[in-house]
Amino acid sequence: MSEELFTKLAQTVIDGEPEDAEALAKEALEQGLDPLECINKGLMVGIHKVGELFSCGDFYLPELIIGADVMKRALDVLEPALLGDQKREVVGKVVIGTVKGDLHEIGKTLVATMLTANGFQVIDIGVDKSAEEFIAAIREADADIVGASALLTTTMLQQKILVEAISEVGLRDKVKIMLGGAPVTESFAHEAGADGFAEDAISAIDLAFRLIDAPE
Amino acid sequence: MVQSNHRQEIAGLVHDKSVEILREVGFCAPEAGILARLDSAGFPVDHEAQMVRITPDLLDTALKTLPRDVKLYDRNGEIPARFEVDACFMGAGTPVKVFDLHTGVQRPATRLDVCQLVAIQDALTQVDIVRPTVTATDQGDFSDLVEIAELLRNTTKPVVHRTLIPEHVDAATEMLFTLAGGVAAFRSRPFFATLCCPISPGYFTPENIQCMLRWAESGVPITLLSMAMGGASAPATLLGELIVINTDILAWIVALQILFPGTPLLYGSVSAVLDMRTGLLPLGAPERGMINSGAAIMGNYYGIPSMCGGLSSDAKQLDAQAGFEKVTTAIPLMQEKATIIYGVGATDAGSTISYTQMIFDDEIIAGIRRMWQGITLHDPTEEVELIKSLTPRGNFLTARHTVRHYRQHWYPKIISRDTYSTWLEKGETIEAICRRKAQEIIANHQPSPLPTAIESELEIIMRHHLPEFRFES
Repeated sequence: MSEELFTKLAQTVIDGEPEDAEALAKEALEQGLDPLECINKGLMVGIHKVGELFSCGDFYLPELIIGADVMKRALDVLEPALLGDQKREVVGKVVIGTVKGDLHEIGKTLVATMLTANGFQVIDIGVDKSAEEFIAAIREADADIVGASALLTTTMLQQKILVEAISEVGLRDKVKIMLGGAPVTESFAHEAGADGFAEDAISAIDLAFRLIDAPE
Repeated sequence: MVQSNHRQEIAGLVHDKSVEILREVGFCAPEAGILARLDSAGFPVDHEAQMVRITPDLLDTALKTLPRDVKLYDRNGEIPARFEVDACFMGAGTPVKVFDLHTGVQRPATRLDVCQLVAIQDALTQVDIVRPTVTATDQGDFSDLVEIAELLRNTTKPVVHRTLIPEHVDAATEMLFTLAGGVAAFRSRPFFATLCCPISPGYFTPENIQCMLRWAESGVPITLLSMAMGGASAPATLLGELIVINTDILAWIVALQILFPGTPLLYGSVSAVLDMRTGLLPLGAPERGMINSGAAIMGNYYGIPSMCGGLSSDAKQLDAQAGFEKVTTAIPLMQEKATIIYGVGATDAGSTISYTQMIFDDEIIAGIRRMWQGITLHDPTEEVELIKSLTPRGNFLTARHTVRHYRQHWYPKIISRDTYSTWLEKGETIEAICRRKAQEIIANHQPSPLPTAIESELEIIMRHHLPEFRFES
């Protein structure tokens, strides 16, 4: 019975059916199933399959993003129900946002979703965020990585300011910093004192794995 | 290609749907002062949601004051020969990277690149309108002003640039008016147009709006330039994407005409569709030319000049891909009678400018322009008499008629028509020829200089912002 439900849960992620996922997650809890098993044997199996289909070219980004969103809908039901010391296994924790003055959201959100689909816990703080807001989120989440995006030549300077601010508050050794956005280059990221730069969403995922030294 | 009735149908439908969206949902003006201004001008404003709607009355008034005779002039007050006759081609811009002319290696662009790339565009016969094409990354926060100053100094052709910083608009207009000899002189023959980009759908940043209002106040022609991404910031169908493009542009056509009646506006789009395998924005895709041909259709529908992104490529070197993409993204814009085609020198999805590509683009444009003339209809009496007299087996090579007409055919400057053995003997690749030609232009081409007094005045204006600024002699 539970195996059948896990399979169905995985399938909702593959098919991109958020309502079904949420309903199944609730049903699982009502039946007294272990929420952590629902995550590991249901949702994670589904998102891995989505990842495989993306890698071999059967799925494109919309299916991948929708799959990650479906997973999140079910996680919102299952995670609060985790028992005692149970914890969802995550590859790492990432705080991500666009820097102060920059409202270009799509690229940042794409990276956030891809990270989620790859097993990271992502705290997406949104757009136009000051260094203080980034720092507060890093502290609250005890993040391993912070990702900062800027699309304009005028706002990319805020990325530098962010890196400086993180150093000033003494968090520089605790968190890896990755930068992204159309005008950003490897040399700019290096000069700004960041740990890495990614040109697109897929290389951002590789970079995140490299930065925390986790196997992909 | 689009049939003419089909084209009218698209334009009418897109306009109607934009009007519907602007009437029911509106657009976002994310700043209290701007909202208050639009409110007192008669727009229905939701201050809390920062949304502004457009009524049919406002639309009618705006479309009545929208100038239909917007023209760009060169520094000498002449309208470029091709403007509104043929599509004008314009430099691309303005990424932070350039492929180095000598090494071919990608590196950050500098003020020297701006000067050289502007001078090259000044020299190229097929380039009608000039952009800095790159950002001078060595000039910090004032790169935009330095780029404008160098544009004004290094070419006599009409120029287009922007700033993202409202305070810089005043310095820019001061330079423009100084060069023109006053506000009225500039307004009567503008040699500079700017551009402002929305974040689709339905949003301009407060800074961008402030810039637009300042430019409009000074009477500088503004291009409302959409950068929609089909499948990301707009629907995935081209028609749906065009509705987003048009809604964003129409919103500010109306807002600017109501606030500053008679402001000269251009209809722009450098949109594309997202590559769903990577999340990147390919600009060499056929869809690039297709969607921006929509901007030409809509510009013609409203009767204002269009500026359309095309002649684009994702290639990283001057190769077969570059040739294919440059042409396929330009053709739909020619087909739909774009006023300005925006893309000379661009490569690597618009994120790097290439000197050699810029030189080769001149060759591509010349070829496309020739092709576009098609078979012309004229009285063929002379030809018919000639055919009769030379039938059968006559030779047309020495006929006077041939001598008079063969020069209409296109003769390339770069492309090889040599035999294999001659080509082998010359041993120079297209890339090498283009590099050599770029170096020759940089070494030999002297753009017509500014009067010394004007040059000094521009330097003084620039020094208010950059105390060390001076033009290189």
